[in-house]
Amino acid sequence: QTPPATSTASPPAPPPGAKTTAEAPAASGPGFDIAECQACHADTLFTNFQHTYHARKIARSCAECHGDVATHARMELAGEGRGPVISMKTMAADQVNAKCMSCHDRGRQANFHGGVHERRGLSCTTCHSIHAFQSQRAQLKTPRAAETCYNCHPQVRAQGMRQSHHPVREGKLDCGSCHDPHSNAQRGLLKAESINDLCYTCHTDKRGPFLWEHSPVRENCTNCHTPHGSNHERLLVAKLPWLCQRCHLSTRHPGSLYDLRNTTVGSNTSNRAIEHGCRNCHNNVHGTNAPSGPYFGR
Amino acid sequence: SQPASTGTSQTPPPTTQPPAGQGSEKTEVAPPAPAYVPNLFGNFINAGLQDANQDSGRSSKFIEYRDVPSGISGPAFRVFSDTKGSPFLVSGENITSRDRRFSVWTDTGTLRIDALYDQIPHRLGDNAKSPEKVVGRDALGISDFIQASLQNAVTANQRSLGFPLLRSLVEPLINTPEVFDLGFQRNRAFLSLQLFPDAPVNTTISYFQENRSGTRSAGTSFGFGNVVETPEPIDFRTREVGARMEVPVATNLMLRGTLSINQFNNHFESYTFDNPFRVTDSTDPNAYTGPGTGSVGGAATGRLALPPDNSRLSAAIGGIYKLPMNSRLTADLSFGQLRSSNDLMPYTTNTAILATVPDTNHLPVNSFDGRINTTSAFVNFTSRPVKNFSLTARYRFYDNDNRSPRIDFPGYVRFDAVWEPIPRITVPYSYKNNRAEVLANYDIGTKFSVEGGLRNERMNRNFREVNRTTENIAHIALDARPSTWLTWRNSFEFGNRSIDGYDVERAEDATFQQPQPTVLPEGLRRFDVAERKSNRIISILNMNPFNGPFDVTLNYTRYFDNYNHSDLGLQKWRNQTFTAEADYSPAQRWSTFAFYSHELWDGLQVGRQSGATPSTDPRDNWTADNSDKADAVGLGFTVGIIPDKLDFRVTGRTQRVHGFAALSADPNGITKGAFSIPNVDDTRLGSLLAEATYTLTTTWNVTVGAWYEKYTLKDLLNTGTQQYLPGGFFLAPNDLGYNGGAFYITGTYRW
Repeated sequence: QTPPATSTASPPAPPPGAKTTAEAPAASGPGFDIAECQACHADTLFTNFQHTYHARKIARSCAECHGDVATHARMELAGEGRGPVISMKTMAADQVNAKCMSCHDRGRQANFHGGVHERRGLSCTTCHSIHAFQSQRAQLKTPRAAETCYNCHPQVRAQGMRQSHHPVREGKLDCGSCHDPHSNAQRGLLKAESINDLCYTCHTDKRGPFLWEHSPVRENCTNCHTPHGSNHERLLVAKLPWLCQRCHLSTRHPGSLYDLRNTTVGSNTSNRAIEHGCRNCHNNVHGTNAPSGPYFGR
Repeated sequence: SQPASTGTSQTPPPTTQPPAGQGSEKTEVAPPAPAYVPNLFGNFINAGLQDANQDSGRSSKFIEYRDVPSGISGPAFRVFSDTKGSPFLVSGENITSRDRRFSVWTDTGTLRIDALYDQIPHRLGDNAKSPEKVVGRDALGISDFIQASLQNAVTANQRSLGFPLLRSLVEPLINTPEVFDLGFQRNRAFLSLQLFPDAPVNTTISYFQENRSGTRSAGTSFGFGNVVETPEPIDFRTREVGARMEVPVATNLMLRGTLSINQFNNHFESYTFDNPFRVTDSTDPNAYTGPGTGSVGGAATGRLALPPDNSRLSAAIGGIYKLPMNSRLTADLSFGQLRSSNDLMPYTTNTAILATVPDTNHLPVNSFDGRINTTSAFVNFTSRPVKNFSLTARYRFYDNDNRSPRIDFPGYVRFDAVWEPIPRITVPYSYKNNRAEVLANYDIGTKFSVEGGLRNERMNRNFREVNRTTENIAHIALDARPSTWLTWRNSFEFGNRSIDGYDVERAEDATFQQPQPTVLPEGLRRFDVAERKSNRIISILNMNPFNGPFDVTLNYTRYFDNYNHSDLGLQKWRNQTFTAEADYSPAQRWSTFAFYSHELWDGLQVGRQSGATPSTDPRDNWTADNSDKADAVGLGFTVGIIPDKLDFRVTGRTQRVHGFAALSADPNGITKGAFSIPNVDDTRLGSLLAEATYTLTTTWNVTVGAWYEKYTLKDLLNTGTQQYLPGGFFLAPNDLGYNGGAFYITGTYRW
């Protein structure tokens, strides 16, 4: 639903079989309106398309992307072949992208040029469909945005099935909640200046600044959390107390071994091992304003 | 409500686009049937009846992010109008449930409105049991009578205090607990107004608000042996106003800017809770160990600081400059400020400390004015001068500059029980990140492409063990497209992080006014600032034989970090995933899928147990090799039994995760060996859904379905937790296994 810019005059489309260049073939020739094209093409192409911006606002409609559709229609009716019609399905990725970007070169889409998805040979139509889209928003090829991403990132779907997960599979969030598939400045295509800035979007209670700061927490939430899903509570990368003990091995209880003896079935159940482990006492590990909180206990 | 999405897609995967500069050849066979396209703009309203059951009590996991009501389910609707060229779409789903969602979208030509209202429940544990009862909006309490009787009992029996005696004393409390359902609700509203959407200048104004309320568990402890887990009250408000503008100032130059203000407010600055074993305040040097043979002292009431009000102001400007030779330069600069300005709560609730320690009667400052300035700069140059070569160079700078004041405190109160006259000082931790990266991509003919890149990432930190870390990463990607129906993508990364010296005590010392004797073993290396070698492998093979209806995708991912200079702390971390997915869609209304995934998470760490001083004896080392192995299998199909009349859908999956803590230690060391824990968050989840939709008329259809889920959790650190165990009271909510499901019938009217 991103608005295209006003279309511009374009050179004639190349003849069939001509060598292509990085520039997309352009539309030309007299335009047909949608109803005329619909006379031959399947209804499924138009079920939803007719309500999209492409159909409603672009003056020459089908011809804008498909070139000389009038000649195409005439040749088809005369049994002379397809004619000079342009099909996105047979265009190279860079041609498709150039075609789409001729209008969609603004907003987040403007960052697509040189981004990881473009470099790896993906085109706009890898994820989006002009006619047969399945999603209510963004004209994606799958009903849910995450399913589009999982086609190439199945390991993320696997992680999303863990017992601790963001509500992606419940449909309350999707990959686009955090990532910008059109690319941007950040690693992981994150939609914020840093990982923490992104997490603070929803977890504003963790933002601070705090009187007592926990430095690795301030720097990077993913030091302790794995956002795509974890087998441990609160998306933690490892179970407490061992996660904390990757850094905290000072004298007495922080460096102590907690093993089967300290579990709920052990002979020496420890309140530092069971339930929330270290957080049973050190509750405010994200930071606190309590004057008595240098150890994040209050 | 139905089970959450269970598996792989039921729509064709992305098409394999021909490589750059090359149109595809003619397809060898007829293409697959076009995917079924639902009418996304048709009007409808539906409602259903549902019978939902859960046969294992009330596990919150069953309804973690969703409602599963019995009775009326769902109602959903969509109304679309496209008269006079001003489309208008309004929709709603689950409108009688607490996971309801409404959206509105319209475009009048001069204004595009996008609005969303979404409710997201997050249930964390049902039937949590606490000795504390709600006595105020920010206060939990236990009757003075019970506190007094327990105080008298532990005082009278101090010499023989141990778990059996304490367990018998608290019997009245745990037999009549207060019951809470832990969890909270996020109610979110978002409004976006885009002015003159068809104009070259893009101007958007947005507003977001989230109200979050409920409870979550909090570790509110009165001492080493007296954890009293309580439900923390949550009443948050987050509001954000934003504006964004994008201006094409020339055919090859576009400028953009954003401004946003985000405000977080917490209705509760803190909350209080009672100590079951004290009705009067007291203190002594060992009170943090009470109740025990060493002390029965401590506070009658504790107080926990809650997340403080804070705000974020953010402004950014940037632009894109299109250069000759299919190149462009992008630059963005942003500034942000996080602020938190709040009155501080007292050192303690314990009147015995306040009466005897003058330092505790007044804070060095009454309020904290925290401020962090952030600066982010990004420059990106991309170019594809010829059709088979592209170059990307980028630089990113991020500065997290904590300008909060350093505040000296003469000491602190431990667990509201004991004043510790150890002068401390707050640490406004800051860091800077510089990242430079160059990437080159070359297409070898039409069937292969190769990408190589180098990245240098530097972090400068203050108040940490390491001042500077430098990581150099080499990146290689190889893609093969030998046919239009076969794609094999591979990427590899090799990283090496070096440091400018490690001072194991520096971070600890920074928080003391006078450095304390060392408490950390010399060989410890904290993994986020430690030297490491890392590699990443991602390989994905997609086959769509002859561009037909059968599609297979195989994926292998491996992330590995080796902290090869760390004697203690995290040594190695590994995540491996293998997935296989297959789709078969021979007809528009006939699709099947199956998938399998195997995943391994593995972290190896070495610790050292010490007494009062850091041990230097390697026999006191212990090793934890904690792993999670997950296997998941799923399959499903959708088939049109009677074309355009009767559709039938079945999906199912099963997942098994085995968590294992492999622990080892020298039998002659301080730990006297180690005993592994065989079940750490072992989970199994199975689900099955069957659904039939019958189209009665062009306007009516009816769907009948049922789904079932079985979830089990076995965790020797959590399952079996009782309300009172050695060392504390636990909420022990039911967030464990369940057998549950629903039968439903839904009628849909379309017009």
